[in-house]
Formats: sequence, structure tokens, C-alpha cells
Amino acid sequence: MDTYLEIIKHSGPGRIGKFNLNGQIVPTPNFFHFPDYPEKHDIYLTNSNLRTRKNPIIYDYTFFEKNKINQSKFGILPDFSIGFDIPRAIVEEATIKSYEIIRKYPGQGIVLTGGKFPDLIESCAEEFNDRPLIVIPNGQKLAEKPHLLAETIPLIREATSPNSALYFPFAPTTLFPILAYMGIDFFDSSEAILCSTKGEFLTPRGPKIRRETESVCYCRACNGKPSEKVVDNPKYLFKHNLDFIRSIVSEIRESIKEDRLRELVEEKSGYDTRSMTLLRILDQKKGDYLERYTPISSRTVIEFISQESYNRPEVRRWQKRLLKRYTPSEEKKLSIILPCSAKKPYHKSKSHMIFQKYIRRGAKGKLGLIQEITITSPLGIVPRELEGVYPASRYDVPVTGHWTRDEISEVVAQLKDYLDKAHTNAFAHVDGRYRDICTSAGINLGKKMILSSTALKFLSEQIGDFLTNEKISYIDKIDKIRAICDFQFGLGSGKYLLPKGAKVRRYQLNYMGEQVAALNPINGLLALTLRGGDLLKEHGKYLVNISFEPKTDSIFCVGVDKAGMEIRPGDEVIVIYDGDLVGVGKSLLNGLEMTRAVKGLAIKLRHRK
Amino acid sequence: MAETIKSIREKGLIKTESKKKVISWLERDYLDSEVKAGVVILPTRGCSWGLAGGCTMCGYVYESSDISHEEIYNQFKNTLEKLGDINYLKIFNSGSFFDQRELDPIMIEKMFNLINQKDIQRVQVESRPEFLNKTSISKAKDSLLSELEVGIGLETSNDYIRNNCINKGSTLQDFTIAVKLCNLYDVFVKAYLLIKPPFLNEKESIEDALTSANDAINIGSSRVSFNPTSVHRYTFVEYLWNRHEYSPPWLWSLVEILLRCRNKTAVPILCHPTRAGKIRGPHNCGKCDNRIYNGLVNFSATQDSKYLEDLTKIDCGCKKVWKSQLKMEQFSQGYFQDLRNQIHH
Repeated sequence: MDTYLEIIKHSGPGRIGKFNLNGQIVPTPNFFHFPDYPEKHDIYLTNSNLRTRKNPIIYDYTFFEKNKINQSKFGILPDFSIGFDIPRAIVEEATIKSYEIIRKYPGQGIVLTGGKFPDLIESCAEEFNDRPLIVIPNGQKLAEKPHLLAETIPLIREATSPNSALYFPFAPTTLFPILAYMGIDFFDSSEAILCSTKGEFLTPRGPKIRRETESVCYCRACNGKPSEKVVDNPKYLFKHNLDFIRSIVSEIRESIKEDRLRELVEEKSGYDTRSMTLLRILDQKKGDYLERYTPISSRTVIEFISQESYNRPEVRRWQKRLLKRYTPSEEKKLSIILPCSAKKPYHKSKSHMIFQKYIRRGAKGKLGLIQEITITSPLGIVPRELEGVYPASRYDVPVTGHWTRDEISEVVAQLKDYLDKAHTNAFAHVDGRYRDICTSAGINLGKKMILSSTALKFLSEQIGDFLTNEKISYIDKIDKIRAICDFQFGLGSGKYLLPKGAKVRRYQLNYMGEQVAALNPINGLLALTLRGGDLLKEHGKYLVNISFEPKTDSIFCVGVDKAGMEIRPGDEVIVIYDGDLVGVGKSLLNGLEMTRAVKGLAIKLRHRK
Repeated sequence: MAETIKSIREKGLIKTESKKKVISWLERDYLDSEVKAGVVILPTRGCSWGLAGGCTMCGYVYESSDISHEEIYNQFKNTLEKLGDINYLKIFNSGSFFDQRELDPIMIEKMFNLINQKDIQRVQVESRPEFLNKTSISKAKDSLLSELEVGIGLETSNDYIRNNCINKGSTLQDFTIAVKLCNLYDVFVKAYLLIKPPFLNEKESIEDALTSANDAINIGSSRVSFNPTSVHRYTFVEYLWNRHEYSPPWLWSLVEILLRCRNKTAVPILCHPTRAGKIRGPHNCGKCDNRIYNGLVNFSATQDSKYLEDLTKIDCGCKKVWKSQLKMEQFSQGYFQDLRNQIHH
């Protein structure tokens, strides 16, 4: 008789899951409906003793019927709900009373106490962190306070178990996508019900009053009738409103399956200022929280549809890793800055193929001394060896020739950081805005930044002249792959996985005759073999310690003892049992989640010893 | 809680002016049938519980004054004359009639003498339970010819609510003892019940009022008066109301309470809502408020169920909104935006 949520997939902190209510399973994100109202749904919330529905029902006890609590059913325990804007002393008094009841009935769902005080709410979440259903209080008011939402929801999400479902009662429908993105699993149909009562018609922009709406909808209720006709008929109005909620929730689930929840949120935020405000605050203040749950790669192309896209966790992660996990090789004597191309990866584009022809010509056999860097918005800079790595090769950006001030300053910052580290001279074969960027980056450093004309021949000559006196020693081809490894597993890991003497053949990486890894052409990242795992585990990162010897390729969360906090959903991980390597594979969750969760799959092994 | 109330109270006492005059008016009420009643408000020193902090909803402590007992008596005498022929005299001192710090016992005797000279069937006063003892009651009963009725603020029969939401400072036990005592001396008890104390939602408040009425009658009250909470200045309720954490009950809730109470009990049940129809008092959408208020007053004065039935027949768009609120408010887990503010006309 167990109730819990099993995570299937993440798209940012948002996740699709299976909520198991005593054996009955409901997909999440989802919404609770109420039995006293028309229309059937997957799961209900009630405080009347209804037993006629086949679908799961969660019972919501009211404060004045504490005596009726039935331990054999799953319900939400009563709390003395005092409200939001209440003096702290009174909130603390009420909290004591609620805690008494909560402690008496373990395993039941709870409403968090704490009024408007994030620290009190967080304490409550921490104390009762393994309750299967955790309810956010004062939802209607909290929805109007984006700063508080941005602060509180991540605190709650990370204080509680990943197997706990979070329920946000009375959320406005326009905020469903962003709340789901933040990690909320359950909503309810309250807006449909209350709007229907008031004669309001739900639209993507929110509820509309009858006289002002002319939108035509083709749901089962409206069926092409103008909305003025629909709102006069309570039955149709209700059906339309409920269907509207159903469709938003389905859309959210679908977008998580397609790795596009962030795009959905950006798109929907255009309809409601609250959502947009919340998104911006999250990006500004909770970027790390978002990044921790953002998968390391995806088959889906990232669409940069709005200005908010430029603040995506993937972009931040790329820039951070470039700073921390990428160092241009010491042998390089010259950096060539190039503009990006529409076709990705860049080296496949016509323009870059031509650039490379002339660069090679100018280098005259000393190509190994040259580091090619592409500048691009939004990522900033992309070193040639990393351009196959997600998301550098899997994004789509509207190109107008115009760069915003923010875009320019971002790229300039990235370029400056690179030039600082690189200790090389730099040529830039760029035009237009790119030229301004290079000037901005070059001038302050006082480096010899020569701007070349669009004549490629000139570039060749320049390169040739520059390298005349340089001597080239042996350049290891594998260095490029080592750079990818460092980027993926941390600075220095390349030397462990691919020691001196490692060879590459097509996509296979071998050392001493054994394959250690394969390069995935789709996301540009490395997939390990058992031998590779053995070598790489010495680096000490991306390790997962489990408490049993695996008999199948599925490693469940319950068996995970310890996991590196650097692990992200989709990361390649090394699985250790009793000090020995037992497998390598792909993680579904981040390090924190797989350690804390007790249900669900953590890792799918690719190779098992 | 007590701290917060006290600080609001202190501010209120500084900001409000003390009253100097006895106020009175005539109204309709019910004894065995409809009668003409006179209400007299005596501005005494003020409720001792209220001065120390007091109940979360009560602003009557600001009706207090510093005028002498002599002055009160003189004004009372004039007022009594002014009221003329009444069957039912209700003396309210916004505190406890038998609190000697508010009204001098000698003065009370003098007042009763005045009353005895008139042909008044019943006199009603108010008191907290702690001031009702053998001495005070027997003395009162001895000096008064008319029937004596005491109104006691039970507010709710639920000790938890009375303590944590109202901060009344008295228990069900205190009430029970006081009622038994009164009944022993043939003194009638009118139980005052508060509709919708803070922190209760609309549905809970209806159920609480009905349960409390039942309990009050079973304990021995001879009649019940339902008082919907209205938002007085410088009270904790106002503090919540300003922050949208409290909204006064709907008039539909009052109708429901009276209807269901009438079905279960035979004693007179009264409801004279103050500030009905205003945003600080019990209200509906604005359109049906007057009709309902009149219906409630008619029913209270006549105890004729036909007025209640008429009320249920009123068809206003806001009734279904009220029903939705009853059903849905409980699931909001805390703050709920009252639907009366969102009705489109």
C-alpha cells in the first residue's frame, strides 16, 4: 500500500512521471478534478465520502474532522490553514498544531505550513520530505508574487524527495507550463470550475468575460460556435473550460517527452506577464537550479525563439564549461576567429570549408599550431574541436544580421576569457558586427589582433608570414578528442581516458588494442566501454556507487548509495560496487536525485561486467 | 496571537475618541410574538477583557468612556422616558452588565427601580460568564420585577475556535456553568453566536454556527442570536481584512443557517446583522442584499418561517457563485479570493 511518484524523464526541473496511488497509476504532470462536477477524469480530490468512482480519489481532510483520518486510505492531512499575510508569531503557533497531526500519521500527504515565510515553508518541507504528496499553501496568492515563487518552489523541490509529487492548488492555467518547468507535478481544475461559475471562458491569455470574447474554439463543447453562444450555456462553458485545462496539461507532458518544455514555457510566457516575469527571475537568480536538471544532450534541436532563449541553462552551462573545462593546447601559437554558419556543425558548411582550405594553405604543414574559434550567438565561442558537442551543433537561431547589445557583450566577454587563457596571437576573419566584437575583445588586451579583409588570400599570406619562424613538433590527433573528454567529464579527464598512445578509428577510440570509448555523432559526446570506465574512474568524477551487484542493466535509485553531484540527466556514468567497476551507462537523473530517490530508474547500463 | 491583538488594541484606544452619550433606538423584536423593543447603549469604562487585548473581532471596546456612574444614570433616566412604551428593554454596555468596574451595583438597583415603574415585560443585559455568580444574579432578580435575560457571548461551542480564532478567554465549561446558574434563578439566557470568525472558510462557518446553536440550546439557552462578523476598526479582523485574508460572510450563509436551525430547533432564533449589505458587513452581490436583509429582520421579529421560505425563493445570479465558493474554498489550502469581488454584472 504505497504511494509515490516515479520519474520517467526530465526536461529541466520539470518531469513526466507515474504517480502510483496505492496501485493505480496516473501520468504526471496532471490535474485533480472534483467529483461533484461533471466530466470524468483520471484522478480526483474530494472531502466527501464518495466511493462511486473507479478512478483514484485522494481525500482532503478538513481541519474539523481530524478524528476521521483513515490510515488505510491515502489522503491529504488537515492543516489549520491560516492564510498568507499573517504575522509570523501566529504562523508559528499554527505550525505547531499542524505538525502534531502530521507526525501522528506518517505516509499521508501534507500541506506545507509557513504563511509567506520561505524559511518556515522550507523547514516544513525538510522535516516531512518523504511524504508522497506535498501541497503548496496559498497558491492563489503565491501566483501573484513571482519573486516569492521563484524563491520558494526550488527550495521545496530540493528539500523534498524526488519521489514526492508537488501539488500547486488553484494555479491559474496560464502559469501551468512554467510551474511544471519548476517541478510542480499536480494542478487542479479549480480555475475551470470557478470561471464557469462566473461566466468566464478560458483562453490561452487567461479567463475572458463573456461580452468581450469573440474567439472561436473547436473543442467538443464549442464545436465552432462563437464563444458568446457558449458562455450562455453553463454545461458547454464548463466542458470547454475543463477541456482547455486538459489540453494544456497534455501539451506540457508532450513537450517534456520531446525535450521542449523550455520552448513551451517561453512560448506561453508571451501570454501572461506573470509567467514572463517568473521566467526572467528564474533565469537571473535560479540559473543553477534549472541547470542541475537540464539534460546533457538531446535529439531535439534547441529553438531560440525569444530573447529569453539566450538565458537558457544549456547556454550558461556551455559558457561555464568553456571557462572551467576547456584550455587551448599550449602548442597553439595562433588563434583564428571565424564567424559562425547556418549549417552545423560549422566545418560542414561551405563557408567554413573554404576558410579551412585557405588556412591550410597558409599554414604550410604547421596546421597544428593553429586554433580555430568560431564566434556565435548565443553560445559565445565554439572551439573547432567542440563544435560537434551538444548543443553547438543542435540549435536554431533567427539570423537577421542584427545583434542586440546583450548578445554582443556576452560574446565579447566569452572571447576575452578565451584570449586570456590562450596566450596566442589572434587573427580574425570576420565582417560586420563580428568585426566590432573582435575589436572590442582585442583592444583591451593590447594583443596583436589583425583584422583581415574578406580576401582569403590575404589571410593565407598573413598566416604564412606569422608562422614562418615557428617550429612544429608532433601534434597528437587525439588531443581533439581529449578536449571533448575534458568538456564532458572535467578538466584533466582526457589524460585518464585517452593516455598517450590512444588511437582513433572513425568513431572508435582505442588504447592498447582495446576500445575505451565511442564518439556519438549525434551529440558529439563520448560513450564509454568497460575498459574506458576502468581508466576514467581514476579521474574521480561521474562515479555512482551502488549497494548491490547488478544482475540486469537497470540500476534503480534505491540501490544508489552515492553519486557525483556533477552528474546531469543523460550523463555517461561509471558504476562502482564494492570498490570495483561493475558497469557503464547513461543516467536518467542528476546526482542529487538518484541518491535521494527510493523509487524509479536511475541508470541504464550499456555494458555490465 | 494575543500580542498582535494587544498592539492593535492599544493603537485603537489611542486613536478613537471616548464616547460621552447614552445612545438609544427602537426596534422590532420577539418575545412570544412580535414586540416593540428599546435598545440602550451605556458608555461605561469598557469590557475588561477588551481593554486587556480582547476578542479578535470586537470593536465595541472603543465605545467606552470616562464619564461617571452618576452621569450614566442620569442619561439613562432621560433615555428611558424618551423611549416611551416598550415591552422589551435591552441594555447594552459593550461589556459586562455585572462587572462592577463598569456599572455600580447601587446604580443598577436605581436603574431597575426606574424600570419597575414601567410596564416592561423583559429586560435583557449582557455579560461575560465570569461575572455571573449567585450574588449578582440573585440581587438582580430580587430588584427587578420584569423578566431578566442575559446575553452571553458563547460565539461558538468549539473551544479550539473560540480560543485560537476569537481569543474569547472563556471556555464551554464557563458558559455551561453560567447557563445552569441563570436557569436556576429563572433568568433567561440568549446565546450570542458569531458567524464566521477569522480563519474559518464560509462552509466551516455555517457548520460551526449550526453546531454551536444546537449545543447552546441543549445546554439551556432559551434563545439564540446569530451575529455575523463585521469588520470593526482597529481589530485583528480588520488587520486580516486589509490584507485580504478575511472576508465577511455572505448573506446567503445567514439564510442557510437560519433555515437549517429552524428545522432543528423550536426556540427563537434571531439575526440582526449590523452593516448588512456593506463591504465591512455580511453581504452578497449588491443586488439582492436589501431584500435579504429585510427578510432576515422580518423573520427575527416574527419568527414566522414563511419569511425564510420567501428568502429561499429569491433568485439571484450570485447564489450559484456562493454555492461554488462553499464547495471550492476548502481546497484552496489557505488564502482564497472571495468570489463576491469577481462577480460581473
